[in-house]
Amino acid sequence: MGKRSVIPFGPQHPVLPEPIHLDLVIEDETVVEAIPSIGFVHRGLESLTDKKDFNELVYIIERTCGICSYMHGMGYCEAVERVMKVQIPDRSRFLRTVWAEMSRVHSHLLWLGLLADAFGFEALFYQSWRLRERVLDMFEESTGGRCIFSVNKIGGQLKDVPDDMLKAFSVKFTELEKEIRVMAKTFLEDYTVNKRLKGVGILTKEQALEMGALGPFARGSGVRYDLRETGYAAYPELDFEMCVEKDGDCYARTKVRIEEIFQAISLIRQAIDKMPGGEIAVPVKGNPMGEYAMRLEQPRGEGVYYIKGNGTKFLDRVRLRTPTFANIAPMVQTLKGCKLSDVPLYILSIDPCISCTER
Amino acid sequence: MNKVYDPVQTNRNVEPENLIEEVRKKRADGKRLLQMFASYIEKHYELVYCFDEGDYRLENIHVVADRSTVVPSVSDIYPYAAPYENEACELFGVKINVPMDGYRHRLYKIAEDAPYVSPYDHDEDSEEHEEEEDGE
Repeated sequence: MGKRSVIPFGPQHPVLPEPIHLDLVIEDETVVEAIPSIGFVHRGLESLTDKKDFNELVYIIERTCGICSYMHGMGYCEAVERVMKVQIPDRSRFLRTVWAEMSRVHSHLLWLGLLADAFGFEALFYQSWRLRERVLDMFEESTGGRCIFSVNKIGGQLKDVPDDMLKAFSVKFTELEKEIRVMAKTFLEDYTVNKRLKGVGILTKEQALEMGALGPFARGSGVRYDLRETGYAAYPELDFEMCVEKDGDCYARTKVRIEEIFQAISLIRQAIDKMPGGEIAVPVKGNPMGEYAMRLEQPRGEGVYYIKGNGTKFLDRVRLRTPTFANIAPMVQTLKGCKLSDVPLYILSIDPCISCTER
Repeated sequence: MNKVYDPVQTNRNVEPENLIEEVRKKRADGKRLLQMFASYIEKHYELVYCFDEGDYRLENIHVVADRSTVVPSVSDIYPYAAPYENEACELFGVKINVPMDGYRHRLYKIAEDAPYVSPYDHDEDSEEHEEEEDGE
């Protein structure tokens, strides 16, 4: 047995875009235990429930994270709508699906760039982020924002997207898909990239289930679980096939995310083709009374939006269970037994969003 | 209009002393713990354990506990419950006998202990403050 020592990792580290700290207990160069700590940028958004009414909270919840901002707002609105028995118009359901899948495309492209950066492939990093910019341009065109969109409201959407703009998006995504396919070939077939990703950071299906892993992290280990199958928003009317890989290593997780980009583009095109006309919102009267836990599939996995209303305009409780928070336990599990030099790659492969975690 | 996605969600209250038994049953039945979190009901804590019942149905188990009550930890049954329990302890001040291994009772590196306070405490503080002012 080698000598044990503790290496602090983070909260500031070149591979971490956001602060998380790990005390890595190592024996020689092998990690035997990882003790995580968070809270460096905790904002206490959930504690604003007694200061902001349930309509204003949409804007607070959207600001949980700059990457999956849209989905946070959507999840919260859908939870309140279910408590209040509000049925949103069909066009709103389809618009939500388009924007949600656009969020998934840009989030996965962002992650691919960070992954390339982590293993030192700078050209691939720039290429991923260059393509991501196109999605952000479409967000800006349709919502007016590139990061926080503020188009969700209880009962539907605040903003419509003209049909000709949606048709143009469909064409743009077809062009974007071609370019992403070229880039994906490098991620999936390049010798150097494969050497860095294959067989690294293995999480077995049993471990994933035992530790409650979520999203592409779990699907890369063969766990068939994707909330888009439940049929919220417009998903029941679209052809959707879950992307699952079996190997459970960093390569499998990368492959799942790349396949999900193409799946998301397909869903966007389908939703645009089937986009119904009509209203984008319905009037909502009264205050929420009761509780509901809305679940939806964010780019990083299952997000849970629990709300409890008391019949007044101030909710009793809003709780956001973000996928990164749930993935902390399995991440710590995968770190055990890995080499110190592989730790950044392991952490990055769960696509951690500390902003979401520090809600 | 199409049918709204609205799978069944049930809520049930459980006494703190029966929690472990209930959670063990869930585990034996292969149910997944979705999340666990704390909130307040006036002077009491409320802990909510959300379980995936299959087919995307949910059951929420509510445990209402006095602030002095030590709630048993479920992280021996569901190992990934530990971060949730740590969060409830560190942000809300709930007393849960979380095992020391894993997160060392310090998942959150924050300057203040249990910063999430009940609106009831706010009211109580302001009433005390008013009384002090009246006394002066």
